[in-house]
Amino acid sequence: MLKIRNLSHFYQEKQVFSISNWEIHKGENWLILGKSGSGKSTLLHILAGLLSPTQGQIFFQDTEFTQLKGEKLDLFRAQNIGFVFQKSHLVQTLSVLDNLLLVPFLAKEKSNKEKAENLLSKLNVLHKKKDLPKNLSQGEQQRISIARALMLSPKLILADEPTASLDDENAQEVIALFKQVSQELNATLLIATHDQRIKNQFSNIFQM
Amino acid sequence: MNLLKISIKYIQQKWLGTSLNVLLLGLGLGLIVITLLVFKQIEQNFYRNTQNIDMVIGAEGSPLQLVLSSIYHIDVPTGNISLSEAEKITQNKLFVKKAIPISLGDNFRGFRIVGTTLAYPENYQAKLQAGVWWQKEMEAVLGAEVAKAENLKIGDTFFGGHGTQNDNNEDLLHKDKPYKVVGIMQKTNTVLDRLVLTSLESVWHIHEHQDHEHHHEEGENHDHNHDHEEDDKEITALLITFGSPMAAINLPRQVDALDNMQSAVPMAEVARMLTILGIGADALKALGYVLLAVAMLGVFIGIYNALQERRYDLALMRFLGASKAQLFGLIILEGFLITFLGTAFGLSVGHFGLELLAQSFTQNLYFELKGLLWVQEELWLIAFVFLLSVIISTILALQVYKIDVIKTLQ
Repeated sequence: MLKIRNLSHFYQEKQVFSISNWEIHKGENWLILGKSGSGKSTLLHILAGLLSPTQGQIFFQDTEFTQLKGEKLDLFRAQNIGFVFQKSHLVQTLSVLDNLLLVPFLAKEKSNKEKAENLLSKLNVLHKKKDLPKNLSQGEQQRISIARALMLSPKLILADEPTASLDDENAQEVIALFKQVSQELNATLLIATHDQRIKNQFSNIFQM
Repeated sequence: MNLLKISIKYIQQKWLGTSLNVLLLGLGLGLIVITLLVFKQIEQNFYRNTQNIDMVIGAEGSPLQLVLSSIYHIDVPTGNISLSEAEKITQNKLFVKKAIPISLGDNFRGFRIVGTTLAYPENYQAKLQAGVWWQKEMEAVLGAEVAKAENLKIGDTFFGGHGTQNDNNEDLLHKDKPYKVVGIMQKTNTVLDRLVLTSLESVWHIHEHQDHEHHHEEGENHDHNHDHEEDDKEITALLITFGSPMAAINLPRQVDALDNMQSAVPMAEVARMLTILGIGADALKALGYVLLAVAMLGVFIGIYNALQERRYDLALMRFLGASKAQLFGLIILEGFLITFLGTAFGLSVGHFGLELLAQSFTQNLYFELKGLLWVQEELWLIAFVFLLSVIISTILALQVYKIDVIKTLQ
């Protein structure tokens, strides 16, 4: 479902990375491993359409993703890709539930309060739905970002260092959650990390 | 979820910054509204009181003083003129449609007593709320504010005091000649509300007597009988309504040919005075606009700062697939909400503030000032403020498109 051809990216005339050929099939779980500065975040941003690659092509199912621009790209990402940042980027003036409901509104999809509550419940944070993000712990905020990424049942889930700021127990739990929800959605999961703790949980590893 | 909800939540959460912007905008707007209202009302009052009075004939002196004293009852009269002399001019019915004599000289606790004919209240379409119009000497009809302020009813009596101003001197009261209240007028929103009306004869009657006393005191040898001759009756002024446009040219010429008499055109005098005052009004308005400019600058800075702070949220929303239209709408809406709150606050401050001010010193004014009154210029003011807000928001919204999502989020 995701084909990468001759993809390379330069930052200030220095090559960040280069990938000649990489094919990812539907429903697969991948771990992108690499040291800091190896370009794994950059790759993830390019896969999410947040950044244009210097060269190369990405096909998302039948769509040549690298050809999309501006609003079309923003909308395509919103409707097909769930992205979880290392930090939980939430709108601070909106409640947890409203942060989730913002997703279908901005992606021009139908509002679905029931789904938002189901996701919060699955991630054990339903009791926080009326709270503002600033009143939540870091772990809770991370769960809200995961719930938000899943609001529109994405075909591709991308996560950038989702466990970096979590302790061992929470890290294992979050990875388990990612695997569980991607399986339920039959979605493809890509996690970029330098966190060796979670290495064993993935059979597909892409080393950068 | 909609844009309005996002905006309102944002304003609620950032209430301190929002209220400062609203306060700044509101105060500037309020000041302009007060200036507008006060000057509009001064203008209206001056013109309302001149209704149908095209010219005033009175004793020589300043024409402005003559107009102020005989129409607005503000300044002291210029003196008296002979009724018979004045009537010679007004006998020409082609030129003079109406000639109302008024005789001043006394006051009742600061409210002027005006000796006149029934044509005077009729000129202002005054109606009675109680009692009847005067018929005999020493019968008085009170203006609505006089009756309210002094708490007088039909049948009550009071003494006039000598002079057109109240100087609280018991000796100056005409204690031997009490007035009797026979009627109370309805409110007319003209100068009539603050006057006591009576017949010309009442005023003459009191002052004949007064003249006697004065003459005795001065010990002068004077022909008392002369005072009682009809020929020598004096009035303070004659209020003229023209019968034809030609009168505007001919009457003043005739009046000026007579000794000790002058004519004054109220509209001309009022216009002259308002021009002088107008400088002050313009300066105050200019100050208001400067304040408004500062207020709008405050709003600009406020929205701009909020936007800088919101760069993150806006980047986040773009990451979540927000279209440019949605982001643009959000910024415009937030600017609009702040402007709306500021305008509502400013209008309240202006109108209720002026009403409170007016209520606290209505006694000292020669007309009633109102705060709860709408003038058309306010519509332009509001339209202007909203236009400015849209322009500011547009400038800021254009900046949102330049946001680099990834850089802003990291």
